[in-house]
Amino acid sequence: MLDANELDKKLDLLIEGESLDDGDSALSTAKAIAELPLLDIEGNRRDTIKNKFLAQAAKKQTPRIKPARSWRILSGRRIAAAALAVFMSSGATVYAASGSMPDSTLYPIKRAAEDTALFVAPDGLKSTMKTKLARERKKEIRYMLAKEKPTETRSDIQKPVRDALDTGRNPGKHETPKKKTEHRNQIRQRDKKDNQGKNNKNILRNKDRKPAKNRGQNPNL
Amino acid sequence: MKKNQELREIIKRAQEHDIEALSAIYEHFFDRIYRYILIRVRSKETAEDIAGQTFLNMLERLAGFKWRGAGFKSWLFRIAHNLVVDWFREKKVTGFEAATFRTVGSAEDSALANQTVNEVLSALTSLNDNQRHVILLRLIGGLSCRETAQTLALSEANVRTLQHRALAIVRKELKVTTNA
Repeated sequence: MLDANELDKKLDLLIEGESLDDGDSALSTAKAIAELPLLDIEGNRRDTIKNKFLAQAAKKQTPRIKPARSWRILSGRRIAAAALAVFMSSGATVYAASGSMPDSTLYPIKRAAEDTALFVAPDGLKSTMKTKLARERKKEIRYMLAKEKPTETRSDIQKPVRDALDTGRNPGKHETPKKKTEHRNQIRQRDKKDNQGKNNKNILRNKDRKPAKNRGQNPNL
Repeated sequence: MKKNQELREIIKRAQEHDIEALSAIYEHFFDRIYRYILIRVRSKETAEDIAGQTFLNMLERLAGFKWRGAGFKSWLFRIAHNLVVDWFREKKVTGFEAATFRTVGSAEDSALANQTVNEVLSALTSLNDNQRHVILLRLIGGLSCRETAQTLALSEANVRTLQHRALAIVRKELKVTTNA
């Protein structure tokens, strides 16, 4: 009897229709199976199935409308790459603009980024951010003054600066009512002391001073 | 269509919905597919239905077919094989042995031919599923060892061993039947 590999080669020949001698028992068994007198399908049934198959194929044959070239350019990976490029470049630009001064071309980007940050910041952080921005404006003014250039006159620049200056001049402005009262009392006390000091000084000064009527006269006389 | 390159070109055209190419594929493969299904389900009507469905399924999936290891023939036979498995499952028939034995031949066939067919089919029932699938794909479907291995997700060495052992069992069974 043929071994498994030899039998396999012989079976390939049998399938291809070559006539083989039936000397080997396994091969003759294989031949009996391969040549089983199974009834072939009737011609008309075969044609019916074929027609059904081809009719289905014809339905699918409808040409697909290819998308316009411009859409194909913007499809798939290209959209993702473009979005990534825009995202990265915008991030880099904002970063570069963060240290710019009013005379820089990137300054409007810096201002826009600041406005956006202020807009999206939670309420609790807004006052801190405003103070920070006011300091930034102050820095910019100093820079521009040093360069002897006029600062921008835009109200949105001036307002935070004005706020900051107000804050500096009147620190109690943004404080709580209790602190405000304390602060006012302190100021009053200080003013009182100052007034007292001034009064005392005046008294002492007046003591040293000669009466107006004696002024210019010789005391020895 | 015997040459692989020629078959590739026809399939490429068929993937573009070329009716002539699809017709050529049908003509080339239908009889083998039908015989393979018929010997498994033992019913002409069922075999016709499943064979027709095999080609319709092929049409649905043809666009996604790629020459990755498995050839077209084994891919097509896999569709047929899966449809037969589904049919057995649907009919709640556990396997080859329990399938209803309807006449494969007709009244015009010689009694000897019918007897041979029935003897061989009876002998095939003594094989296990893998052995039987290998024998039917190889000898009825006309698949090569490699194609059979790809269809059944087995190794080629495994297919060679299975077919060698299966033929020995069938030969023994046939001898017993003849002697009886």
